Amino acid sequence: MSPTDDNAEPSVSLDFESLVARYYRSLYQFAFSLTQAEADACDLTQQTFYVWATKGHQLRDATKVKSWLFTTLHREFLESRRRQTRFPHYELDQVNEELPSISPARVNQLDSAQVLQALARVDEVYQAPVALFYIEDLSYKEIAEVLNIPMGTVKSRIARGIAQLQKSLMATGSSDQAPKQTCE
Amino acid sequence: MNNREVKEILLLYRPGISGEEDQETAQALELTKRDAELASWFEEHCALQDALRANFRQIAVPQGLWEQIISERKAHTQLRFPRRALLVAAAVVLLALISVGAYSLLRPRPGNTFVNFSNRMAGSVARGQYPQMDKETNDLGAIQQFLASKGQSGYQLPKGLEKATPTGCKILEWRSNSVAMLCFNSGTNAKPDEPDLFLFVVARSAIRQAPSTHLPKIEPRNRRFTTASWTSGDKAYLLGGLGDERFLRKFL
Repeated sequence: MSPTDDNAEPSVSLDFESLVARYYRSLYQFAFSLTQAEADACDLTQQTFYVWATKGHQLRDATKVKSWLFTTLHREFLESRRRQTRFPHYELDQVNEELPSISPARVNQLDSAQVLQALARVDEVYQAPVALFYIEDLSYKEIAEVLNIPMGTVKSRIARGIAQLQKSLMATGSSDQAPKQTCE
Repeated sequence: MNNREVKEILLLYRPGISGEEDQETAQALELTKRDAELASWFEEHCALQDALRANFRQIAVPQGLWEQIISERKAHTQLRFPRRALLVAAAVVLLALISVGAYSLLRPRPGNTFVNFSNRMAGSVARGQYPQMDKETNDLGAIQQFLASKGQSGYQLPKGLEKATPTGCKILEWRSNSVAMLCFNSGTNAKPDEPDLFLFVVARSAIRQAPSTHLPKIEPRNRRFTTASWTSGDKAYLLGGLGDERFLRKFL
């Protein structure tokens, strides 16, 4: 039996099992949003907690645990992708793209698989900020810490990402299948 | 602030997230209450955001992931423990070796005095630790012959030892000097095959501060072990016996 994490913010416990119980779900969801592959998401989540088990004691501020975990997962993701090029930074000025309008009926038809498929079509640079925006109630400051980019850039990327996501959702067919979920 | 700007601002608005409701956002929210088109857009936008948030948070987590993370942590811990234990053990051994090395290099070296010789030879047999004999026999002649073949001759056994039964002999080395060890059984030993009298003979020239007299000097080492030491000719002698002074005197 596995416990479920909730998004409430009780006092932070650094006990390993407590942290896993509290964050493994949202970390997995973030990982899955990035990789779109269940096995990779499992690996990233496990790797994140492994890093915590070996290096977590170095964290002095217990209130930073959440962003530390998401930062670690994102870093592991980037490392696994061996990205050579840095993402360009944008300042929030204007989201030039016209915001698409999605009908309430379409909204009600959405499911996680469709949302993730739509996210996969969003520019890669926007995927992580958008996922963090929706999955965990991280502040923009925390998202900036996780992604190691300025807060203005975070807002810019989220705004652009949401716009692209909505566009993508409009194009997503309702016949899409959800990916199979098992963790080996 | 026009409608487009209001939408851009509210695109990032998440009710309830602390620190995000700045003045600009408050202003944009206020405008949605006054403008029907904006109000409609904002309502749809919020519904979409709620749906998207819910869908992200409904991403199914594979069964067994929690257990796998916990079990891997335990496996890593268990793997790390012996590794850590080995490292600690290796460090302790290394430290001990360094300490022993440093001690042997730096300690004041005891001289080749008779006292040191006596302590070294008598110490081990007093603790019941004596080496395997080079020759085991009850034949004193055979023992003397063996010792002579090893360069140990010219010594004189105390008269009293004639009453004891020889059990064997061994050539020892002490500070690069050859020492003859002759073992006897007094006949009173509870173990009839084992020695309880030990005679050590060394060249007098090999040691300093050898006893200056041929009269044995008797010293109880502990409750059950006594030594006698003397010199005669060019040899220094040390006789140890598993007994008290009275016991040992019988074999001098």
